[in-house]
Amino acid sequence: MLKHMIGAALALGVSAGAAWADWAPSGPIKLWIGFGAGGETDTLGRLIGKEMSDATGWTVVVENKPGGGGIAMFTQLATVPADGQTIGMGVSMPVLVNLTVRADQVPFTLDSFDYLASVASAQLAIVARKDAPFDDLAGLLDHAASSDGALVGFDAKPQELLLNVLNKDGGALRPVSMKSSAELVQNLLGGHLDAAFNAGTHIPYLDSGELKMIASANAGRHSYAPDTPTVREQGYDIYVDPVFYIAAPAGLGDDVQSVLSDALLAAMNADTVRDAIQNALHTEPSGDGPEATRAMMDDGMKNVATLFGK
Amino acid sequence: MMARLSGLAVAGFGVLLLAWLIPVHTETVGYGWLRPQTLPRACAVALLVLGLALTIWPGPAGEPGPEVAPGRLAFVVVVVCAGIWAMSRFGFLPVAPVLAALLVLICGERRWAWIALGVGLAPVLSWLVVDVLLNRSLP
Amino acid sequence: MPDLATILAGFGDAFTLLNLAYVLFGVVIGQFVGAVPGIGPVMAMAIAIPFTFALDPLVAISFLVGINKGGLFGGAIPSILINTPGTPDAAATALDGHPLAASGKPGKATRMALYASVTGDTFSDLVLIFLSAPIAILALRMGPVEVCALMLFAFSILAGLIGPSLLRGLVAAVLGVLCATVGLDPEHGTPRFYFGWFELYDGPSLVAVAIGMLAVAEILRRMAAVTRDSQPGAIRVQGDGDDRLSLAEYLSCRFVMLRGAVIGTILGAVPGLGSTAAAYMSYAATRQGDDGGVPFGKGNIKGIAATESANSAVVGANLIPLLGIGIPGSISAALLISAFKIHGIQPGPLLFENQARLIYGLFGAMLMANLTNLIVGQASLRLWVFAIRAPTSVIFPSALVFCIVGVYLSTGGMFGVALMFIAALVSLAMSACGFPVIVFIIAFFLGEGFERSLSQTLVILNGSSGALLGHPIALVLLAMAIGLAIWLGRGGRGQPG
Repeated sequence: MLKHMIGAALALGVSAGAAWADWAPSGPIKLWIGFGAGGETDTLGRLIGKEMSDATGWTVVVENKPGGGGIAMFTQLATVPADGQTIGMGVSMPVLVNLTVRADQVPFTLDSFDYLASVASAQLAIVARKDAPFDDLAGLLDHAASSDGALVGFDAKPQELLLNVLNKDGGALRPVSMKSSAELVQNLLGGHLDAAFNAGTHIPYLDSGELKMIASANAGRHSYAPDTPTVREQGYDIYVDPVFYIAAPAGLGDDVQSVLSDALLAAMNADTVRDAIQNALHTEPSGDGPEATRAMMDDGMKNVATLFGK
Repeated sequence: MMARLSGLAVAGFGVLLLAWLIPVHTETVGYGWLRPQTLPRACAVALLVLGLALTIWPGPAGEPGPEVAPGRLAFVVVVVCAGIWAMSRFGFLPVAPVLAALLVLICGERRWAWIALGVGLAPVLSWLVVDVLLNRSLP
Repeated sequence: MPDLATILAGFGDAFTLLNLAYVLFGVVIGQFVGAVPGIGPVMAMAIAIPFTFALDPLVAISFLVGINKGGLFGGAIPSILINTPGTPDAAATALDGHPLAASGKPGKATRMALYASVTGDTFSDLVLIFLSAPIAILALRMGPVEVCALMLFAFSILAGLIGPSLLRGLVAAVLGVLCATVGLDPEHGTPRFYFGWFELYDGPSLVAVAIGMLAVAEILRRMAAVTRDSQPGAIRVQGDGDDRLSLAEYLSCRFVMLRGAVIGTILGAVPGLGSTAAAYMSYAATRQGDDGGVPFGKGNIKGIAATESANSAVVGANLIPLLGIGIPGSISAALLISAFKIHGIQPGPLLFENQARLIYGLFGAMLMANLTNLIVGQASLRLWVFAIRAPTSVIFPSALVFCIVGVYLSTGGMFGVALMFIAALVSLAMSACGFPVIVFIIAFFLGEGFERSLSQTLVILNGSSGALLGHPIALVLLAMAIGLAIWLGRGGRGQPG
């Protein structure tokens, strides 16, 4: 009990604002990560947990719950009590896609959760070899039309759907499904693909001049390539924005939600976590709190519905 | 006889796949070269054909399995199954030592020192390393 | 090629006391987790990575490399001593290792495994150090069509493992591929056979299935087999002093180990095939050259030398695509990439340019880890040979608890444990009916990659079989696959096992 009071006192100490209510966790907080152990997102989640623990004095236990890009974790999260003791970190796209395509099979909705914070959005690019005879999407489509179609590699469903949107006027892009950004880069370099989506593995190859970036597939441009326009800027009103975010079961109550959210946002602004986000996702922390994260998910639903033509 | 029955079981599984598992538990996609059902269906047909072939020509007995008394094996399996269920229900720390103790006893061990070691070693060591030292959670 | 000063500075960084301490620590952990059934070096690395965030990059990577290399040998220990592989890669080592140990020579068997493991590992490390750049460029030529052909080539090694009944072997292989189709399909990303369990979206966990079928099934069987009257240790050590490995015996295996190391290095340089397949491929090739000594499957040291040199060589070679082109060759290599990344080091084309000193430091650490593995291994094999003098009634229940803990940790929940238990039951049923379990496992390991590369191949060829002529490497591999299947099939069914 004493430990918790000290924890609460510390929590009050670090927060100057009056937004901090009386709430403090009554035991260890479980931070579930929707991915397996050992990856960059696992390390990122563990660092957020550690920073949060250091700053507030709470005990934070990080657990891996892999499966379906976070669907397995959120399924379980929706069933635990909304007492603020269990929160989960996942990525938006698999959730949005499954809620759009097979809502009847997914045992939760967007309303099953209270949203706490966004971590960052993964930077998704469309890249090609340096010697490819095109520099933008229009050029890629022309190249595809003038040859036997262009092979474009992707590693997640929404990317394939984005290609379908590009193809809507009889384009000849042929999607090739691969497993990871690394496999996509390997096949680009080996000349087995004409272009490919990529979420970061491509960046050193931009520096070395072996690859060039054709478009940003996100809603905005990428910080490392400010001159490359987005797919939207190139005339197709579509984007893919996989955002890492943290949520809790719905029904937390405003005070609990704001205490947790503030603690998470403070942890994400710590130097070690900023570095880890930069290293893992090649971008800055998003800084979005509960409302903005919920809005991001609602907008994402509309966007994914467009992708699936619904 | 066993061999023919196992062939029949394999063929039956092939039929089950084709008639129920594949239609109900995969999604239909209207385009593409390799549909979600393509490979499972190929496997199901192969199982059906191979199973029927086995029923007709059981042939050589295959790899001889190690000799085990089926009754004892079934008993061990039931105990372990119950243990795993209890672990998901009540947690690792209370259940693992009990499960270990039961298994040590089933193996016929009656010397106290060894029973104590069997109960203590794996459950307690795991708990100390995983939970206390590494701060990772156990069931 | 960086200048000599950078290379020397890199090696200098590696050979410090701090680094040595971490390599030693890693090897000790690796050998331990490898030797305990159910817990493997991959899981130990995954758990260790977040802790290494606070360390200097070279120290962190050296530590992880130590765990990986230690685990490679560690996995062979229980495989040999109690016929229960500590890691899937070591399953093939049990074929000759366990009979040799059971005949009273556990020291000889484990020493052979240790020396073959370190030999294979050192061979592939040297290939990595001197030839990684040109090999990585060759590996780039392997597109989806070539990988698909390579998968078929790997499937053909199954012909050597099918055993006396061709039909039963084929059934096991088809079941393995079918099991690999559970989860999201590779072309469209739709879920298959998941029955409401989202954990199955990514397919059944390889670790849970392999541990269940290989280790847990054997543990259940052994627990059912011990009776009240007899409580022997798992192995009785023979008293006649022939429990060591002579230099002549080691040298008699030199060609076997060289072949194993070459097979492991080639398979390791190409992502996706894995060390379990390499070990079996090397074993199958070695068994073809039966020299009339101890029969294979009855405790021939060449059987141990073949599998351990091959599976250990895979690990060094897995780093060839990693360092050459930034592509991980295996799960443990992917974990190393994430360790690089969280330290802000991007694997890729500029790695040798920007981080030459670090890479040569890594090479130094790898060689140091091999030596450490050899020295620590001497002590740990004595320890384990001593430990299995405990009654089987204690060993097997403890091993089962460790399997539960290990699979729980690596799959992140009780779902994985349940899957492991089901896999064990399937394995028991299969072996009771004479279906070869190992054929199932290898087909299952290869199945997902096969379906994916087949889908990619069909898109790329656009349905035109004539387009295959544009892929000569694939054609050669296909021809080799057919040849190998015939060669292995002829010898493989001649004798049981």
